[in-house]
Amino acid sequence: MLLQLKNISKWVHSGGQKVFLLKDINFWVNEGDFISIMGPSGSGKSTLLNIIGMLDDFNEGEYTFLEEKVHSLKEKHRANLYKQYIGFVFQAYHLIDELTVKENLEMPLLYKKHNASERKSLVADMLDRFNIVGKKDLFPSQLSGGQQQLVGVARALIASPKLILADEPTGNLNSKQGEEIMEIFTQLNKDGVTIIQVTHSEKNMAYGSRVINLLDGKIE
Amino acid sequence: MIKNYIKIAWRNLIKNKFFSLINIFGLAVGLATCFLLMLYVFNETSYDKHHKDVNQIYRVALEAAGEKWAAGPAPLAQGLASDFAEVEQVTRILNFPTTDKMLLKDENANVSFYETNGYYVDSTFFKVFTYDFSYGDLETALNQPNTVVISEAIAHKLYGDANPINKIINIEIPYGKYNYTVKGVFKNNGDKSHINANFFLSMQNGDIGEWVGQQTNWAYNNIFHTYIKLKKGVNTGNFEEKLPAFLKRNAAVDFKEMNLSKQLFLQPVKDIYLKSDIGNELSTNGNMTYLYIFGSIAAFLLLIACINFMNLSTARSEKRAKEVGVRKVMGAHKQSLIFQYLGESLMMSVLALALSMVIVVLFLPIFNEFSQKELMPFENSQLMFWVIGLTLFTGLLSGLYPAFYLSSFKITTVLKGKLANSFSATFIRKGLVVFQFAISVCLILVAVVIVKQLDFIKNQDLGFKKDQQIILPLRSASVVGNYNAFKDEMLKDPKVASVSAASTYPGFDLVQDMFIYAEGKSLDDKIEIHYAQAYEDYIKTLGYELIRGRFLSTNPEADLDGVVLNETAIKQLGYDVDNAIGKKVYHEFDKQPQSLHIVGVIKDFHSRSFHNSILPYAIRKFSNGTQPSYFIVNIKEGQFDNALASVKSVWEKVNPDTPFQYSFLDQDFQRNYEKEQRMSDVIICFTLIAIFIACLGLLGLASFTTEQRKKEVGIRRVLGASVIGITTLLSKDFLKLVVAAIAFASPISYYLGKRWLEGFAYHIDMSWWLFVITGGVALGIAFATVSFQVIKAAVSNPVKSLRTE
Repeated sequence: MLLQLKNISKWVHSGGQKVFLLKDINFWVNEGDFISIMGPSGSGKSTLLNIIGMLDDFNEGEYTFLEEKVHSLKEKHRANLYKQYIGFVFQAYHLIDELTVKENLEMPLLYKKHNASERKSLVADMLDRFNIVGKKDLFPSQLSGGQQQLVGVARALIASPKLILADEPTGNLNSKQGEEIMEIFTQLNKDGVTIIQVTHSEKNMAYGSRVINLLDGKIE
Repeated sequence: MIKNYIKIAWRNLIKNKFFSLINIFGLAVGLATCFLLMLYVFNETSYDKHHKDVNQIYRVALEAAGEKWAAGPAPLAQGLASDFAEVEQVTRILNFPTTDKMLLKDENANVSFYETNGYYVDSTFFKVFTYDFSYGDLETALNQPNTVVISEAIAHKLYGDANPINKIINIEIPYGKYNYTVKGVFKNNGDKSHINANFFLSMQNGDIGEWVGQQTNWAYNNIFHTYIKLKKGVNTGNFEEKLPAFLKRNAAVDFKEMNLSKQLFLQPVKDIYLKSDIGNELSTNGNMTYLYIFGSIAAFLLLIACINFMNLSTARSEKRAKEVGVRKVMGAHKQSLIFQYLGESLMMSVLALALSMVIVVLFLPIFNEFSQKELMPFENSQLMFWVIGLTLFTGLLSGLYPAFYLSSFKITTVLKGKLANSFSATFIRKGLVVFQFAISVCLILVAVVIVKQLDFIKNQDLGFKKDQQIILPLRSASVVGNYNAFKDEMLKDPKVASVSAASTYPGFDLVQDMFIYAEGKSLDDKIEIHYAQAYEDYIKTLGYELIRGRFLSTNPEADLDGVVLNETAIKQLGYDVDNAIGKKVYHEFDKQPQSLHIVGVIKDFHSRSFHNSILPYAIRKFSNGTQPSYFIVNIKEGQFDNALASVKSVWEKVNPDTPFQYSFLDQDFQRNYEKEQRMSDVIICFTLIAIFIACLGLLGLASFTTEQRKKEVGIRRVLGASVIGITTLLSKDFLKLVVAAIAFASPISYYLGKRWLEGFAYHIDMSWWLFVITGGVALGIAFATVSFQVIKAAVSNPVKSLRTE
């Protein structure tokens, strides 16, 4: 088992009342899973994904990731954990505008303190693997949306994570570009990477092996 | 990693040229000002640091009735040497009155020129003070009578590159011409000292030597600057405690005769230049307070520039927020983000450093001119250390807040793009703007007060005519003897209104004084009165107003005991102006009361600067062979143009052997305010810089806010808002801050201005409208700064700004 959520709840206070964003979420993920989280807007999909990615806190419950109890870890320790095992892909790509493709890919490695030659070869591998060698010195603004998301996926993968979290990865792409990205995810999943994606699209859902439906913060 | 940071910092800088320029330029100006000031401070604090064992050298100064006096009586030095085992060496400097300029000639009288700052010193002088000799022997230089040690500059003027040792210099003072043998030449090597001598004459000599030898009284002629070098390890405090007993032992008898009481105190020589400002200093000293003032203003300027950086960085944080989020997701810790943003501000400050160096080099000549220094940019290695330190400090100071602010963003909010400028950040930003402008407004107000006071001083009626007066110093006996010839010749000139001669003229600290008391009183009721000795026409020439009686008789035999007093003297003596004429006053000489009688009363006038209140003043005739030191030539109104040339030609006709020297009374008088004038120049300059940097920041913020509110402006325009309405709406926010700044600054600057004005016995009042006008000006400047951006936004086509959404 890669991770397990037990009775996870998250709420905010609004007008003196608890408003639950997530309520009593229980599920687990095995290594090699390809999970799609679905649900209408405001059902708590992104919040759940953020909690799994350890970017957000929860108010109640237990979260175990690779035998580590995330809910009782210190911030820094938690950051180390996701840094090592989790890669993120965003709907809006979130590449750094001031860095070139190559430099964007290199950035996670810098924070993991890889040395220069390692970085160079890993970046070269990635560029090769995603066929973007010719784009390596371009800035994000010079790429199409699909190309940017390709870089985004490559960046998520570069540190060989066990888990990829993708928040509507194809939301800003046209259908052809979207398909390309989903193909890549399928291939990655075959290679053993666990993937959790948030999506609105039934078509994208079909790429996954398991679906979690959220409604009003609860799993249906 | 570092490379990555630098890359990103650089690309950000290029992308936002406008903001980068404001930041770098502002910081550079701030840093440059600090560096110039540091040069000045290093120069000012380097005085008297070069003497060997300087921590053991002290000046022994006097205090009597709360007044401190830098020089002591002649026997003081010898007394200290013989009474105290703790004293290793003593030496004296005599800056003899009326010898402030001496006429130097080489043996054959080929070269002759006036030289200032020639001091008579004891033969031990160079055993106490360290001078670097290029010729001659330091140990024996002044051992012989009639010997002189000159500066390299003088040596060069007299002898070119030849060795001047054992050459004869003829030195002329008002008492005659005397030959001195050169025994040493000291280097003009940049060692600075409060003893600003150009040459040193041996105290044993054929001119004043005899007089010096006769001085055994402890009570008067306190004109010997006395220095002691204590032995190593002597506790100064303990030594100082023994001084009252020492003075009592030696001077009690002399003091009793004069009904005086005095104390001695020690001044460390290394502190004299910056910390001593007492009577009869050898030269105008520096001023620690001014150093503090200048230093804090420079610090404030830099702070204003740093605030620009902080404000613009946090205001634009939205643009960086996504980057913060992404980096955090990629595994960046908060620290590494803080390092990154600090690095960026450091880079900014390093670029500013480079620019500031250019500014320093460009502006140093101007700065030298008004600070009257010869500062070199890179002479001091210590300075480079400070420069680098200050740059790093500036980078950290301006980067710290933005770094913490940016790095503390929560990933989930910034990645959703929900970041709004939080209340606290906006509040801090507004607070910083208020702070910046409060400093600027404060500087403006203080500058206005200073300028107004200096203006007041310049235009105030002094009680005498200070304009149209040419002063001719008399440096030799023969010139004084030619007075009548000179006067007759001068009066033939229709441009000349009047001519006189006197021991002094208004504008100086007076050295001549005596104690007098009124009829029916005793020495216990004495008042101290300063006096001038004068020839006929003195009152007419200087334009004093005679309110009772008459001036001293032109008959050389008459009125030898006559005296003309000012109103203050009459009042302090206890007389009434109306019946003072003919009354007697007494002073004691050799314990014998001598009487003077009052022949006239003049209206009070400012004989000294406005720092001092008007003191009792007397005008007497010359007696006992004393002679005038100055001719005073009063030129008629409106005829000043060629007057100087005709005075010069008359002088040269009457005194062919003596070079013509002159000064103008108004300029001499103005010299009393040199410090204030300099301070005013510096503060005005700083004020302009401060306003400039603060406005740069305001400009940046204005352009940022209008950019941010572009959509709002567009919507308002579409809904029918006028250009003026929108301009008001957008400017209001900024002007509110400036108004708040004015409110903060006014009481502070009122207090500062008041403190400064307290240094003047006569000063302006700070009226409320001064603050209103200044505030209005500050507001106007701020409005002009923001209006450009704001109006640009207001008149822009709303369709364009709305379309971008």
